[in-house]
Amino acid sequence: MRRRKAPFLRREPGRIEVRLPGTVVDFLNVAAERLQRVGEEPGTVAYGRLFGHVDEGHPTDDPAVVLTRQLMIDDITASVLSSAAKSSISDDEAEAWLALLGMTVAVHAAELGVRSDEARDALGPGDRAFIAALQHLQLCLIDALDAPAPTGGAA
Amino acid sequence: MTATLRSVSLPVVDPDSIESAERADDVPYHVFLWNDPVTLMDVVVRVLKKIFGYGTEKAELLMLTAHREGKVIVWTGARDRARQFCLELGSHGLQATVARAS
Repeated sequence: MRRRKAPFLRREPGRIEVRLPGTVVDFLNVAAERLQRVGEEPGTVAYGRLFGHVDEGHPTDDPAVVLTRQLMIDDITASVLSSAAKSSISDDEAEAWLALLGMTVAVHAAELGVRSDEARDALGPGDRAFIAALQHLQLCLIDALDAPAPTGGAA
Repeated sequence: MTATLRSVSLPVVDPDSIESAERADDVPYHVFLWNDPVTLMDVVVRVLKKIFGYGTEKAELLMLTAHREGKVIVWTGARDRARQFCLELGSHGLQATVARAS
């Protein structure tokens, strides 16, 4: 039985080695570009999920809130796009990858109409597998981010 | 890292609906985290620890409360800070809102 390689590995303080197939790297780029466009698509499910109303009791959000949210998304997607092809990323870049994956899972699930545990459980095998793959990447990133740096010797 | 501001659709705001700054500063606001059927518990706990600096035990308790009750108050304080926390939670795919503490 072959042991599966971890896709992310803590190598030194502040750095994480990335061992992802090219198809996953391509996916990260596409996901980042997709999220960048969501702010320009009011009325869509994706917009509703990412730009959901912040202030309860107010009919609309303060425009400054919407702009701040867009800037945060732009920062995250820019970081992912500039680092997706790297074999070693900083912790800040890894945090951006983690955030991007979280937003991608949320938007994808919303577009599938998932609003409850029951709806999630009723998804078809393909959609479940896709979400599970994104969640797996999230957990692997968290493991790498939270892992102590190696103390020396051969890696 | 740079961010380019592109075309963003902004809501039209009725000036009468905006509270005065003085009033907003006086009243604490809650940050509510809503249950989410697709974000893993481990992810929620880590995000709460990172954004609020909570310990694992507190973050897990908040996550489980949101899971069971549908939502949970994760922070209370000044409105601007509450909004910022809310946006940070959202940037990880979590659903959060702010509301005046009653």
